[in-house]
Amino acid sequence: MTVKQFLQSKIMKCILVLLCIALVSGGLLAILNDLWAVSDEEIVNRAIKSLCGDGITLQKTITTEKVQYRNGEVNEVYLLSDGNYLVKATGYHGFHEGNVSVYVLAKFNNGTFENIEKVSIASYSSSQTLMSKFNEDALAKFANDTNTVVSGASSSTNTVITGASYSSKAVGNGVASAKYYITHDLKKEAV
Amino acid sequence: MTGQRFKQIAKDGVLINNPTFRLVLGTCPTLAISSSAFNSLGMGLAVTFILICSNAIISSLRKVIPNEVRIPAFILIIATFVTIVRMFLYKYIPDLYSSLGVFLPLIVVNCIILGRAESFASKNPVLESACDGLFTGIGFTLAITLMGVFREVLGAGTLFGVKLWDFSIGYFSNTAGAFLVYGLFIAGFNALYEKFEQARKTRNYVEIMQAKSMAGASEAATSESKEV
Repeated sequence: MTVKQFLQSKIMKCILVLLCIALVSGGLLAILNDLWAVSDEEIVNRAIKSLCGDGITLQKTITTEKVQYRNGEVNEVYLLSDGNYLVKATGYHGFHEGNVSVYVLAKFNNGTFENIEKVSIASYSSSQTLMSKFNEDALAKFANDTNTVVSGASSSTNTVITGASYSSKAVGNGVASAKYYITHDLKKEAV
Repeated sequence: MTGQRFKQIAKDGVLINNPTFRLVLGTCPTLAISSSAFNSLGMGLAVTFILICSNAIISSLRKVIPNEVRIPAFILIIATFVTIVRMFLYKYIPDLYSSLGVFLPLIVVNCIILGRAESFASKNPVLESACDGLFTGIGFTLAITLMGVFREVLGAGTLFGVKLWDFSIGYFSNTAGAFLVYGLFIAGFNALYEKFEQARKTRNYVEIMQAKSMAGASEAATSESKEV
């Protein structure tokens, strides 16, 4: 087959049609992605609204630098208008070694840490397929789990959601990392 | 497009070929999402939008897309609209976005959308294809929302998130309950459909017989007058 024959062949037509559709689709999606982009600030505000309800706002960003522990890491820490802290942490060792990121609302009273009030899922790697099991009631167990090991944010917790034990481990590691950061690494001046 | 054709497409999409209860397509999101009426309605509207847009585009490109690559081309077009819906929901309705979870991107491989693209949009004009998408989407939305209302009311005692009573049967919220409810709805819908179809056939038969007897009477009257 000569080059001219190839250019006039059906294969060429198929390639061109698919290429054109892909290019137009890609262009359209790029424009819409730019128009409908969700900023990091908006994501944090959504997390605050879902955990604290209306009326509570972001007062100060404490850190957005990663603090790594053995089984998890703390990604972002925010001070809220009611004096509590919102910590975004990631737990390791989920299903197929996947990670789960959680938002942890830490309750403070007169600058002293009291307890973990609420936990919500921020994001998770695609291998965590059973995240639908982590509803509000299930996550409340993680917040209330007094057995959560905080020493060095090592292996996490006794809380396990049936059928999603690996993902539970990752969630627990995330909560434990957040708890460890709050009790050990949150600078006193920040409190 | 004539009014008669429009009526036929509407009837086909919502009743005769209802994708959920008659063709049993799109079973995966139907079973997974229908535990809440709000999620069901959201999924139904998302699928309807994608059906209308993908049908219209596929129909307009039906003479350009070579037969050999029609399925990859359809998937590309459908995936584009699914991504648009995902971006829109993430920006404006994040609660619904997180509730639909993995089933939102899975719309790309929804049999209803690919089925309508292959069997209707690739063979018919743009307006008819868009109407087909609209009515098939309405059929799917009605079916999944009806199941969502049923399961939410019985399984959680709420309707669109509003508490109705304290009584609830947890079975209807879980997967096994979804299968039972789906089966019951298919049986109910098909029983009703058969009943209406039977009634329509009987009515047609009576009309034909009446027309025949009238024609026979007029023939007899004509022959009588001829004899006279």
